[in-house]
Amino acid sequence: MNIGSIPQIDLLKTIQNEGVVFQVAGFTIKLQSPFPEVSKNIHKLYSDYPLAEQGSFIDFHMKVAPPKGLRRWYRPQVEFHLDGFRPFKPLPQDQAYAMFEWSLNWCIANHMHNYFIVHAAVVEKEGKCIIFPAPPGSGKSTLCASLVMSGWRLLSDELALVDRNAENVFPIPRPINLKNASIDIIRARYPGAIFGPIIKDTAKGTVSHLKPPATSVRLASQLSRPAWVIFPKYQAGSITKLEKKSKAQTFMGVAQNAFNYTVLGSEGFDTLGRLIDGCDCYDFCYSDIDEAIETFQSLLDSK
Amino acid sequence: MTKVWSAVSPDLFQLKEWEGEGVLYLADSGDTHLLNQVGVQVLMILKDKPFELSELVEQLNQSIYPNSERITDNMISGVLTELYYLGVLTKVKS
Repeated sequence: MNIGSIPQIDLLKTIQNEGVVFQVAGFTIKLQSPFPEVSKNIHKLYSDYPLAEQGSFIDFHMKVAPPKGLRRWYRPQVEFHLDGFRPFKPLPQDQAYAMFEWSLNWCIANHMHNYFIVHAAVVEKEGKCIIFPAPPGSGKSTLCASLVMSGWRLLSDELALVDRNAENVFPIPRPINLKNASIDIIRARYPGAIFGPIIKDTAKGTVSHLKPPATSVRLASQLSRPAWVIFPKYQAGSITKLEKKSKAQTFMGVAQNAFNYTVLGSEGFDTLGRLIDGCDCYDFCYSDIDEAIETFQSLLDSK
Repeated sequence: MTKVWSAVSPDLFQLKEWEGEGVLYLADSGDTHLLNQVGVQVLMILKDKPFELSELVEQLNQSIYPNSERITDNMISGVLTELYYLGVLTKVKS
């Protein structure tokens, strides 16, 4: 049974009371929130995600709720709770849904150290995946959304979870967090795309979340073999350029974008070394999305 | 008296090399450094056997770079100093 099969009003009541327990790839999440905006967007963007079986072990007990005191009413705010712990400062209440998404990223990146975790988008086709590590503002999510809407499978928009042998990437397909101009770009290119709310004035600017294709969610248990590590960079007016990058330079670039490279110590060094051994490495500069999609299709065809 | 350069215990660092360039992991600090081709070759040679500077330069010129411009003591002494301060080389007087 998927989240989408619950009537929206029932989901609202569940999330407001005991909480909804659902699966996001290999993780089981319990979410509670009194905000209708949160349940409405869970219903919209997570409709293809399965509800967890009763009695399942819950990885993250998440609550997105107003703080106590005056800020519940005056310039209302929202707080995130994980097992009763509040790791972040409150945000304006109209950012409640975004806070859920960002907090879930934080939960995974800070607790799943059985994986080597990189800040990266990951897409897959024909059993081979591309890891796009990049800092914010590089055009990673725009590129990822475009590829996913063009037939590539979404493994993740934010976190590459690589197993310790570096043989597989573990998918966690979730809504793609688009920012600022990229929201309109993707909306214009793909009119059928389903978006969550437009949330303005966040720390990342204006953000909106794009619903992942149902196929990517359905195939969430299917691991993928890393074949390429590619550093994307959107540069207005630039020509499309895919250039080989040395493996040692790639190693350093991935380490800089990894969440737990230092936590894992020498094991992190070994895992990343194996990942780089098995991948072709590139820098990619683009401004034209159609050319970008063609470039990656050619890359796949040449493998 | 001359100085003999040698790599520290292999437990203290890991080196991974691709097409000449390499990455060096330091177990004590957890830091990782990018090494160029000369840095990688120096460390690989000294991992196997200690050498004086002139012997090391000879090794590099004979086995690693036989067809390129000759490497000089000056070029390598800077590399040795950097690797020494990273903690992967020791020097003893003989």
